[in-house]
Order: sequence, then C-alpha cells, then structure tokens
Amino acid sequence: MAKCPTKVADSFNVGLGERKAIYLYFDQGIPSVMTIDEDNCRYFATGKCKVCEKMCKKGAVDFEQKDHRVSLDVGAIILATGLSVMDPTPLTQYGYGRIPNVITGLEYERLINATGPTGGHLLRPSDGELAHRVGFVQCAGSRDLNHCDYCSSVCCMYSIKDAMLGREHDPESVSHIFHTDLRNVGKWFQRYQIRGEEEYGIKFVRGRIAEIQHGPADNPVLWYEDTRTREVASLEVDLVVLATAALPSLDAKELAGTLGVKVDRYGFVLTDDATPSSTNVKGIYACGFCKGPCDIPESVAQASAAASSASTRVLGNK
Amino acid sequence: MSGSEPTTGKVGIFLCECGGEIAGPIDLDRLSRDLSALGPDVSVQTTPYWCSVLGRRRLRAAIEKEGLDAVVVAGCSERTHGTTMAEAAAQAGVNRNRTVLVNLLEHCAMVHPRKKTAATSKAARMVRIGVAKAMEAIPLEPVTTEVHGSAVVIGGGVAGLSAARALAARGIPVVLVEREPELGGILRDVNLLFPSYGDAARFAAEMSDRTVADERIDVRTSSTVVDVAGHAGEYVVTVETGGVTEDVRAGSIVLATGADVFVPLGLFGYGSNEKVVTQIEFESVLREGLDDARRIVMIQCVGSRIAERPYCSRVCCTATVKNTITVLESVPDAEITVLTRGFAEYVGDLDRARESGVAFLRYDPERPPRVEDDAVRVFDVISSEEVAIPYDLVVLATPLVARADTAELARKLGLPVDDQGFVAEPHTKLRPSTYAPHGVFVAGSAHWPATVTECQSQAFSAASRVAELLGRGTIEREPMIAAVDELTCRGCGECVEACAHDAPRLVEGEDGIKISRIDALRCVGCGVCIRVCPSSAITLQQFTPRQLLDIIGAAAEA
Repeated sequence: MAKCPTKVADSFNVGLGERKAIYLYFDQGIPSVMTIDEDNCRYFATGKCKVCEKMCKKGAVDFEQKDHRVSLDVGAIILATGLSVMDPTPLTQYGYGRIPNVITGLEYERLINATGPTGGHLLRPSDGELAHRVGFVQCAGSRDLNHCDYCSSVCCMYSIKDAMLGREHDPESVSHIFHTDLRNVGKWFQRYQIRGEEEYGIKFVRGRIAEIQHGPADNPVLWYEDTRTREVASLEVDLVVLATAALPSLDAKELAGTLGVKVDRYGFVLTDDATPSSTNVKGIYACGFCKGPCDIPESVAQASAAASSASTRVLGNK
Repeated sequence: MSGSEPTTGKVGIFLCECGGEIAGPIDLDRLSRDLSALGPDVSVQTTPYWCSVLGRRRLRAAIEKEGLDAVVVAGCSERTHGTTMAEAAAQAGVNRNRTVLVNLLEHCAMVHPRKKTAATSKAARMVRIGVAKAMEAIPLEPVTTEVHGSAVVIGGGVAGLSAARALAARGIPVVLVEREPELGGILRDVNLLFPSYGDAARFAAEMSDRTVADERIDVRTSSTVVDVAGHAGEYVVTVETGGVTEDVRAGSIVLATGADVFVPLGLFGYGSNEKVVTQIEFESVLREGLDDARRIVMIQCVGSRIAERPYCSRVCCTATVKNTITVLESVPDAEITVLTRGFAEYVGDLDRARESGVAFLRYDPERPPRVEDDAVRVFDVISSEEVAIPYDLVVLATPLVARADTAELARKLGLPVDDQGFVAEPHTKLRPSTYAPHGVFVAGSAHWPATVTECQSQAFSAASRVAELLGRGTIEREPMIAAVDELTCRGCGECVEACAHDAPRLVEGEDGIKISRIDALRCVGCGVCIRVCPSSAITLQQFTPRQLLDIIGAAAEA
C-alpha cells in the first residue's frame, strides 16, 4: 500500500483524507483484506505498474481476479440495507460546496474521530484552524416540503452528542444547535439533552436557519429567527454542521423492484402494524433504517425480530 | 480456597503483533526483552496473530513444550478473543481461568499511536499485571446447567402476546401470566392503530383469541407472579391464581408488564371539570362516536418533560395526531387546537393533520395553558399573544409511567430499574435488548414507552433470544462465583441475608456446625456477601485477595 503511486480521496473519511488505489476500506474493516480500486489503479488504466504485486512478499496480489455471480438457494431473505445521506448541495441557502466551512454531520464525525483524518481535532476545511464556535443546523433537508417531508429521527441526538464531543476535545468550544422541534423521544434522551445544556454549555435555539452567508475569514454567518423571542438575528461561527436528511440507501428502490417488495413514496420498505418484520412478499423480511428512520436500539430490536420471523419460517417448527 | 492444584509456576507471555496494529505503536522487541527479564519461569514469544489457526497451533505447541500452566495473551480484548484463546490453551492443558488476556490493542496501541517509548513502557506494566493475575489464578471449571425447554411470559399486552406467539411458533411451550381477567393490555382501550388506522381493540382481541387457541401457550389470566427462584436455564416461577399458587418451571422469562397511563388529577381541571379527559379516555370516546363536541383543545406533555418526570413519553404526539385525523374524518367541521411544547411525533402524520385544518400552538412550560370555564387561555409563543380558545372538550396527553409492581417484579428477577421505575439494560446503545440476568428478557413499555409496532419488534427480539438460549440444551457460565472457606465460616448467616439471588444457604457441616454454602448456579459474583462476612470467609473465585494484591503490586512497580 505504501508504494502505490496513486492517491485518491478516501471515501470512508467522506473525502476528507486520501487513500491509495490499493487500500483497506477502513482500519477496523472486516475482512481485513486489501482491495484494489479498479477505477483508480494505474495498472488497470495504463496496463503498467504492478508495484504492489512486486512488493507483496506473500504473492497475495492477483490482477486476474474477476467479479463473479453467486446463486444462493435460501428460505428467507432479510433486508437490512440501511440508509444513505442526502447531498445538501441543492439546499443552496446553506452554501454547502460554496462556503468551505459548511460541512455535514458525517464529515464532522470523521473530523472529531481520533482515527479520522485530523486525529480527532476539529480542524476546519478552509485553513486547518481549530474551530471553536460551531453552529449545528438541524433538519437540513428533513421536514422540508421541497426535499424530505419526514423527520430523519436520529439527527437531534447525534448533533447533541457531536457538540458534547466538541467540548470534550476543546474546552473553548461553544456549540449552538438550531432546531425545529427537539425530538428527544428515546430512552433518557431528554436527560442527555439537559446534560448537554448544563454540563457542556450547548446553546439550543429554536429556529430554522434561513440562510448561511460567506462571512469574513471564511466564517459562515447564520441568519435565523429565534422563534421564542421573534427576533431575526445572525451568528458568525467558525464551522457549520448540517444535519442532513437520511434517505433510504441509494439502490433500495432498485433492489425492492427486483424482489417485488413494496416501498413507500420515499423508498422505505413497507411493513404493516400486525407483522412489523414482514414485507408484502412471503419469506422476505426487513429491519432497521430501510423501513424508515430509527435509532440503534430500535434497529437491533427490529433485527432480532426479523431474524426470529425468518428462522421460524426456515425451521418450519410447527 | 477450593482445591487449587500445585502448579509448575511457568507462565507463557504471548505478544501479538495484530498485523501491524500493535507492532507499529509498540516496540515489541524491547517489550519482549523487558518481560524476559521477569525470571526463568517466564517465556515470551511474538507472532503476527495468535488468534489465527496457525497462531493457536503455535500457542498449544509452546504450552506443551515448555510445560506452561498459565498463559498471558497480550493482544486484544477479553470480550472479543477471551474465549478463543482460553479454549486453545485449554486444549493444551491450561485451565481456562489461568489464561489471561491483556488488551494491548485498545488500551495501549490505539490510544498512543505516536508515543512509542511511553507506550512500550505502559505495555510492559500491563503485561506484568496480567502475569500477576494469571499466576495466582485458581484453576476453575465453568458452571454448567441443563436448560429447561419452556418459557414464562409475564404480561399479556401486545408485547407479551407477540412474544408468546413467536415462541410458540418456534415450538417452545409458554406459560403466559396476565394479572387482568382479559388479555390485550392497554390496546383494548385504544380506538385505532397507527400507522394503519386499523381497529386496535379488534387487533388485540384477534391476537388474544389466537393465543388462547394455541395449545402450546398455557394462558393464566387473573394471575400474578409472586416469586421467582433459580437461574438461567432453570427458573421456578411461582404463579398465583385466585389464592392458589403453583410453581412453574422455565428455562427463560420474558417480562412484558407494560406501563400505566398517568392520571393527571388536579391538572388542567382534570377530575373536577367533566369536559376534561385524558387522551386514552378520548380513545374510548372516539370508539363510542363523538357526540356534539366540536371545539376540542388538546394539551400535550401533561405531566411529562417536567423536573419530576424528565422524559418524553414517545408515543403521545403520534397518538394525538392520529386522533385529530380520526375526528376530522367523521366530523369535518370539528375545530381542533393542539397546544404543544414542540412536537415529537417522529413517525406520524403531522403534515396530514395540518392540512386537515388542525391548529398547532406552542406553549411555554413556564406559562402553561389555563383551562377556565369558558375557554382555554394560553400564551402562544410563536405569535407572542395570549389567546382564548372556547372549548367543548379538553384532551390531555399524559405520559406512560412505570407500573409500581414492575419494580417489585424486576427485583425478584434481578433486573435493575431506573429512577422512574423503567427496567434498565446494561447499556442502551451498546447492549440493547440484553439484560443483566442471563435468562431474562424485556419487551414493551416496561422498558420504555413504546408504540405497538415497537412493542412487537421488541417482543420478537426477546423471543429470538429466548429461543437461542433454550435451543442450547445446556449452558455454560463463567465461574465468576463466590465460595466459602468452610473452616473459617462461623455460620452467622449474614451472607444469606445480604444476597439478592438466594445463593448462600446455611447447612449442617461436619460436627453438626452450621456453615454457609454458596450455590454456584445462583451466584452472580457480585461480591455483596464478601463485604458483609465478619470472618472474611468468602472469596470471589476469579479475584482472590492474594491475586488482587499481586496485581496491585505489579501495577505499582516502577
């Protein structure tokens, strides 16, 4: 890997770092096996290079491997295709892609992560300076009639968590969370929010951001109405984090079509009240975010539920 | 201390490179040299992956060649690889309790990626602690128990019914205990389901009927659980029906006792003003058909999200929205105003309600609405105006609160509850759907307010975990248990009093003297008995005082 001449944006770090054309998906990825990125590998492009093959003492590099299709004969299928995140570029009022220091929640997660591209320091994209003042913009694309009119359900809590992490990594960090309704409906979520406010100094502002302007020194300036005081105000920050809407995974609709599974207008798999793990197709079950936004404990419960339904069918224990 | 055999005293230290994950940040050559200096009874070797097939083969060969009887694998965590490595060492004759894992990966290499010298010193200290632990460890065998192949489900609401039916579908006999004369729980009082808007009571009735008709499910209504004894695989649940008690044996238990709807006596005129009802009572009103009430004011968060109950009850906003839509479908000229503190219907039909003409006003908990004789008066935060809304009916959305008897039952099951009385899991995010007592699982609102579909998912989830446990036939448990030194014990019975799990019992020892003996199957290794024992006769087998002192010694050594 070290000798590979080709550097490309690291998709695991949502493009924030670089990786080589031969790479591990991420450090703790399973299986822990190197992969060659065919689209970017110099050998596949030009027919020359093979540096990695020469370097590998174990002779593990094989340029002749081909994709192959596998047919599996199974009694049940469980859909657990999860989610994808909305690209916030069409939300032009937020300036994502135009203002360098406007990033998404997922990008923030990589920056604040100790194994991420900045070693856990919240260095902002424009100048690599530590961002102290952070504005979190909730419902970026969610609960928005022009984009996703549903609630993505997990963003309120992850923004609170991210703001708390920010303060843990940097005692001078001050986070503002601009929210619509603060939906802390899960187990002890409200207590978590109170802790964020009291112990981590998070400022909660009820108001949707109208516009983000490109301020001096690449500082984003947030314009909003504080609906509690009915005042229009602005706030200059070092970094803005967009809590972008969660969508069904990109190929969910196509997969559902292949399987004959019904999905709602957004592409989430439909199940009904009476049998929450079962889809309209016998023997096909679904769990987790592919059925609609849900958090980790709910996903785990749904996963066990789907496994239970599937195994009952497969074992046929009557 | 129970029968520790003489040992060779030879310990093998197995340093793992973990590919480069450990070998990168830690200087394993230096570490190996430092540790070799511990003495002639210590052997040190390094390999890329001890957990691999090749690595384990080498580990077994080293144990046999050098006559080791204690093993320290300095690599990754006990949780991920403890069993794998202990089994490999056991094949070569090292007792499982004398194989110790030292988590160099997560506790050293990954957290100190750029401080090689310091990280290597820390690693040496960590391994020395592991050596101290391994050398003094008592050889122990796992506690095994036969698993009884049936289950008890406590609670016959939607969660309990779903769990019982899922278990029966897997061929597992179930005893379902319900305190009320009828099955169905809260759902019997609900008008329509969400999101299907199907008939809730009919859904509950059909589910109850199928449960009763299922010959694999033994339904005991008007019954309560008065006692629970035993342990995972072999519980004895004492069920009382009409004054008669019966002991029911089961391998596993599902707790699905649900929650109560908070009754808001004295709040917003509830109890004195007959035009004020709760949302759950309003469900019954809707079942009967709304009479001439047209102007309806609904107030959210009545008794929730306050200092006394600092939580959102999760289901009320969705229920309120569902009911507004239900009203407007049958009575389109109804005027509905909902007073909220922020809307939390994360799965609901809010936009549909808004389009149907429901008005939503936001109130400030510091200036709550006032229900007066002619109108509800409220300060609307959004418009900053005091508004008066005339009403025919006021509907209060009150939270689900933990049942008083859930805490009592949870105590009998060894399940902790939180300060609001909901059953607590070890970690809501990292270990959801698992609970501290090995054979007990929880589904539905006893754990936290949950919607009908969430109750069902949790019930199926609990059922799959029960089925997995019962399917094993026998279960092995780590010997994390306390044992009594019978020569030191004076038979005072303090430990019997202190134990929450009925593990110690006073028995007649030799010479007719009373002594305490601990049932290894019931003991959970909490150590409470050790603290209360006046003669220091009880020892936790996996952490003896000698072992702990040696560990502290190794940790403190420069």
